[in-house]
Amino acid sequence: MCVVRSQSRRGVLSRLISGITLAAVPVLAAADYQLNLPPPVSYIARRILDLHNLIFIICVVIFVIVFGFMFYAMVVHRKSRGHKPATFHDNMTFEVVWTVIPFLILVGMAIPSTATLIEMTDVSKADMTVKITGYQWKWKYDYPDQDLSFFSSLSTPRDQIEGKAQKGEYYLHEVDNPVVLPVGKKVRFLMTGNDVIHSWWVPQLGIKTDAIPGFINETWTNIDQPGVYRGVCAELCGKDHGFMPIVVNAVSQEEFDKWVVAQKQKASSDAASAGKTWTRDELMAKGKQVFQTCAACHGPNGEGIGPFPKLAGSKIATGPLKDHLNIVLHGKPGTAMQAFGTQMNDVDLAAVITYERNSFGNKTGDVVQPAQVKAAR
Amino acid sequence: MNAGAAHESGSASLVVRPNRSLSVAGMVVLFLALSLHAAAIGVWFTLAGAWMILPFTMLEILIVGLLCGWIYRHRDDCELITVEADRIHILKREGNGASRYDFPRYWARVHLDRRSGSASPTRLRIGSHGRYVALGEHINDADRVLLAQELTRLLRS
Amino acid sequence: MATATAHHDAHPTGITRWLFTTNHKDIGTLYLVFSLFMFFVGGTMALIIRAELFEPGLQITNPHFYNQMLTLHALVMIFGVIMPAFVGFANWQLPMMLGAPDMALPRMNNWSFWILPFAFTLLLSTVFMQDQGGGPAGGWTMYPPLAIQGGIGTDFTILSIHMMGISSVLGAINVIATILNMRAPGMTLMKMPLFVWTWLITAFLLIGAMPVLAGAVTMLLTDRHFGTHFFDAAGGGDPVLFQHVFWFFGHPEVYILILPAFGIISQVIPTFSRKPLFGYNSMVYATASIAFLSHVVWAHHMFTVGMPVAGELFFMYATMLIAVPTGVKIFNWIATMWRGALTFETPMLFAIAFVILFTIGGLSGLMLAIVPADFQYQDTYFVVAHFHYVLVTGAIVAIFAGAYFWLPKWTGHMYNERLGKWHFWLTMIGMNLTFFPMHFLGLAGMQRRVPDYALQFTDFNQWASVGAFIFGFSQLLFVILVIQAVRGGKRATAQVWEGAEGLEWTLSSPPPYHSFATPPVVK
Ligand SMILES: [Cu+2]
Ligand SMILES: [Cu+2]
Repeated sequence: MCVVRSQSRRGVLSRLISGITLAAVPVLAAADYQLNLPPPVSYIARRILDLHNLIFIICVVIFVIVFGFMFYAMVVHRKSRGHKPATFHDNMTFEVVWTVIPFLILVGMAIPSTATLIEMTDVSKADMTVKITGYQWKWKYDYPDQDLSFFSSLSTPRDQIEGKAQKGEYYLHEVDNPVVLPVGKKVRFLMTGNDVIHSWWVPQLGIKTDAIPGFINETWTNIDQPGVYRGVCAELCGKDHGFMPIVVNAVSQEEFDKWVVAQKQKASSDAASAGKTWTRDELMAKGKQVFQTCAACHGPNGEGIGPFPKLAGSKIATGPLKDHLNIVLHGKPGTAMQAFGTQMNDVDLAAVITYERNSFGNKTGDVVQPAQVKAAR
Repeated sequence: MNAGAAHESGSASLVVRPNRSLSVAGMVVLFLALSLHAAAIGVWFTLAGAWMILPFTMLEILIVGLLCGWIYRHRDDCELITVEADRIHILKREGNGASRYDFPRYWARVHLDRRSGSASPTRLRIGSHGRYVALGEHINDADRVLLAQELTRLLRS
Repeated sequence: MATATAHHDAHPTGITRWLFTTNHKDIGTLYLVFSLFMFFVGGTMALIIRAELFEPGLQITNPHFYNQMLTLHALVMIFGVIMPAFVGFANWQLPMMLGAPDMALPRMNNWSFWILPFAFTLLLSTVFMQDQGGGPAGGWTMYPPLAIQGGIGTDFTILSIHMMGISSVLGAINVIATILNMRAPGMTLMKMPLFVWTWLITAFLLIGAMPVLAGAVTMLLTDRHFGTHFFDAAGGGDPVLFQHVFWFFGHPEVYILILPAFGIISQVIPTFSRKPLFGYNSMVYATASIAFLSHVVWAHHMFTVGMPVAGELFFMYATMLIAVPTGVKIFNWIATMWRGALTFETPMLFAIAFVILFTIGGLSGLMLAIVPADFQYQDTYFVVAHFHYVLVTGAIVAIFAGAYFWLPKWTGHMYNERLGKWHFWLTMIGMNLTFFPMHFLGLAGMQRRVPDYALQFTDFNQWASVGAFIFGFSQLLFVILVIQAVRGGKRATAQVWEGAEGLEWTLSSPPPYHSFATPPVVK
């Protein structure tokens, strides 16, 4: 079954008509619309799909049989056709039969379900581990074995969301740093949440597990074909719950190893740039980029959105630098303002704080260097 | 309706008693069933760490208990109407209290007000000289109509 | 010389009649009118949601406002529409069906209604406090820690939930007292109409569930403001505990929302089949066993939180088991129709639609019970489709069936059958177009509670939005129809429907019984 995007907008009416046709000809429909779970790429996802198809077909068969009787009665046992009502109101045999048969069907469904569930929860003998942490509103991936760690957040530009630009093919299903996994390896996932509950869901892997603050949930996968698999956060986690997708890049072991090396190099060059002294213009340019994260709550012009405070002329952004550094680094408990000290590097933080203190009419003139951020941590 | 009416030198009496289908024992069982069910849930959650459910459970049991008590006190609510040779005595028992009225038989009037469009279509009053007391407020409309006829008949006889 | 005079006198009119009424019919009307009004309030929110989802991208809401809409839509529809509608039916019908003059606790009946408008004023006022954070935006399930982050709207919601809870508990006690204490002589328990039975069991569930909800939201409140750490992992609490507590209330709650619907359908189908209800006893037992099982299945709402396998298996088996008594009910309804003499007036159309569409919701519920598959369905539009099939094409459709069924009895006039049929068909088209494609959306990967979506979900979302507007606007026909029936029209006979049976139909008022008698001895 393939996914077809509606690049060309059809009219509502033609949609309605195609809908009615679709209902009538389900086989045709399969070509045009995705009606079932997406193609599985792991053993567990395949087991789930089989199970889903099995129970779905059982349900359809039951439905057709049961309502076959009802429609027969509706057609034949009508008063308008002169049908005289019977008077029976009990039949022990039938009542026992339609209690026992459903029960047996349920037992038949429970057996494969139990088997699959037990396999799903077996996280032993994993080849590698990835720790996934949900943040409002991005994901953090830690590879303890490879000593890697990075954030992954939505890369769809604001303009596309607000309708000011043409939406791309992977609108809302694209991220800046995809999580890269080797195929043919049993990968164990450890899930947790940083602030509120999130849920890491990639349909093609058959994984959905809640990422709960203070708890660690375990699950696993073994991907059997290279490819890009997309997913989303499934648990309502606040304002931008709909904007924290997941992209899994499944690659061969060699490519994975190469990726690990490249990531490490990037990390060390980042560390080097943190040591140098930045100019005000460099910081402002970078700060403007980084501010996209902040703009989700505080508004693109620092004007605030609903309960989220404005930055333009605010006490924090125009007051003592120490307070500003402190709230950005450590967050404000009990609110959606997180401790960005754990999420951004010194350069990004220095840049964004500089930007905030010299934009939207704020004129502190402060230039914050990465070294200052480091010292304030 | 008049069969077996107690007649003694031209006097007769009527007891108006709303139907109650729950016995006192039944009410105790009901109270226990409701409160034990709620209490079991409350205690169980307390053991799981969510102890703040228990106060609400207790509050609820209290409300259920108070209302059971109210129903218990009102189980014998009734109106006793005694028509004597020259007077009519009415004893209304409601909860723990009772109120008495009496009227000269000759002047007593029975009024059955029909209120079209209202949710309760009839009201029955008895009295004289502008002093009236409502009767049969807790019985069905149809019964109230019958009661009015019966009273009228008694007063006439 | 005494005479019984029959004359008309003025009954209280205007606002005081409605404010102070203790009459079950008046209070029933108040509940039903309130419910209908809230149906449009909650429906407007649904249409805002569907308008936003008509296209990918953010068009008419921002994500924070969208989340408020989806949260309030749920709270309004559950506590403001379905529950009050059923209480309204109970108020009107229970005394009539039992041969009682009124509810057992009339004054309390008045209070339990009048709490509701205040509770909902409080809840909805939060929409007008956008500067303080607006309404509740964490979903009606109010999961912490997200609910801890919420603004003042969350506190208002907690307060209004307390008020709704008190109202429900008082209403439930009244129902139980009425059914057990006010039955006419000869109306034994196993002779009671099924609507009465389902309400009796519902009231038991309410009394068990409401303190749990009250406790849950109070713990949220103290976690928010008074330094407790029930649900805060950093302070030694457990965020998942809230989910256990909430769904321990929440699952019985879904049966509170559907059992009275079963009761209504069990009155309507025999009437228009002109045949007694098939398997009365098994219907009663099935209802009771559903209620019993509803206490041990709550965690099927949380299969993805990471429970031990043994727990997941237990809740899976228990949930699957509910299919058995539910199936019995559906088979019994069909057996009631079987070899009857069917006619298809509007109430019967809604009842048949209920049986078919509720079964779709029931079967998708069975699929959701299968833990491994639930990992794919949980928190997606598949779930949204499931519970809307149960609550809209289930509970709401049953409410319409009941409303058309009893409207002639209540108003004394027949409603406009032609308009009723229009309402039925437009509603059917609208609601199925809205909710059926959501199954596919969920399977294809669209998560619930999002204001925006990826491009491949566009088509089905557009269908759903078109359907929602058809569904929403066709409800105006119902309002017109009710107003017409209240104001006049063909007079209804006492029996109204040819096949109707029971105390409420056979006589223009309940039959007299010996509520007064001449006692043997006086003093
Ligand atoms: Cu989320
Ligand atoms: Cu449930």
